[in-house]
Amino acid sequence: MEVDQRKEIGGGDETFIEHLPNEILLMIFRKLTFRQLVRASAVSHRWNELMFYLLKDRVKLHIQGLQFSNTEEWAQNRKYAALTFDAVRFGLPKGFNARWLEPLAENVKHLRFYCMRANDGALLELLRPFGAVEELLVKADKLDLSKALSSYLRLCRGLLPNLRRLTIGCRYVRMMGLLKEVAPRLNHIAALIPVACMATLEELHILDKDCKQDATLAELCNCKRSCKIFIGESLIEDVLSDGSL
Amino acid sequence: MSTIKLETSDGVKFTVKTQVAKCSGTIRTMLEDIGINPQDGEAIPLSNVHSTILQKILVWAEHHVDDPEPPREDADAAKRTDDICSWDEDFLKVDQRTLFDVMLAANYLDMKQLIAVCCKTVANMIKGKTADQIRRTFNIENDFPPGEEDKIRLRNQFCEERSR
Repeated sequence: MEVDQRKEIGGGDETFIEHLPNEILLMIFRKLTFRQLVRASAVSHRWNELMFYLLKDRVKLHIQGLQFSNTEEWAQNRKYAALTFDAVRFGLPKGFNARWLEPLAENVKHLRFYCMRANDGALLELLRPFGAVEELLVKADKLDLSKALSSYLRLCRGLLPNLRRLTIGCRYVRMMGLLKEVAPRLNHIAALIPVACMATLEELHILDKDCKQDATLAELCNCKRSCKIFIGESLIEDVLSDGSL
Repeated sequence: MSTIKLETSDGVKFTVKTQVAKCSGTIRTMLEDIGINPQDGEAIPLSNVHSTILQKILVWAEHHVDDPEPPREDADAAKRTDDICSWDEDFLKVDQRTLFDVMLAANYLDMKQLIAVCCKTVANMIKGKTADQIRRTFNIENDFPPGEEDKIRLRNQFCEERSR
């Protein structure tokens, strides 16, 4: 029997674009610019899913401030791979609760955090939901210490089990000495100043140009001999200045 | 000049110049790779294409039969939608039902240039419109629960292009 495709497509109602298969809709959507895609994502559920499919590698969530409510609702079904958390104007106060970040955090692999002043416990609390993070950039100009070392250690343990690359823009970071506890699989660190690291490290970038590379440095940083040490790498500085204060 | 016969879903037979029919990658493959012999007089069945649409597509193919192979598009060119030739623009001034039927058939027949120009045409219908205007243009139902659309708008405010 011959199938009259027009009847099938028409279907009696008046919308025709919705009868196109995803494959063709995606061909159309690929002609749209980023902003148009974002705008069109509010058309319907189907369009929203398709837009997110096209954009998922290109969008990151950018959160400013600590004033969010109802995160769970607007973040549902959105598995962001990259998240920038910009609390520069707000700081990260003691008693900060990261529960509202949990719905967004699950799939985040690249996390950036910018902050003027952070409480040490609050920083750990912020990181707590981000167990999947592989690459972390933290720029906190001032870290306020409030926790006793023993309770700090307990909070740190296994915090970021998947972390491979860390860029850290803090002059003093208490977490540094505890990296083995925090991120046992870390193999790449970029830091402002020489830091005591861990023996498993493969690459260490120190951003302070005046730092001298010698045997004491490797010893100071607790690096094994095969670890590559780079000093004053401009590449890393770019990373740090990106979106900076 | 060699011709072949095509038969549409509603049983209409078309006699087409082989060269024109080969604008369709699907037909070209049938003739060249699978070795269907057009001299047999047997019509190639196109069970997914209705005669009114095939007729339209053949007009397009006839016009574009001598077009040179398009250069491979780079990423920037792929986003362009303002380079539709005026003949194609007039050709695609049709109702939406016909436009999308042409797209479906062109997809089935593997006519990349025709699909590309259709995609550009539809993209131009989307550009510059709000979600609500897009819905009205294409008669799409807003299937978000009440209030959720606002949240999606809100969510979109936090999307930004990756700088690298």
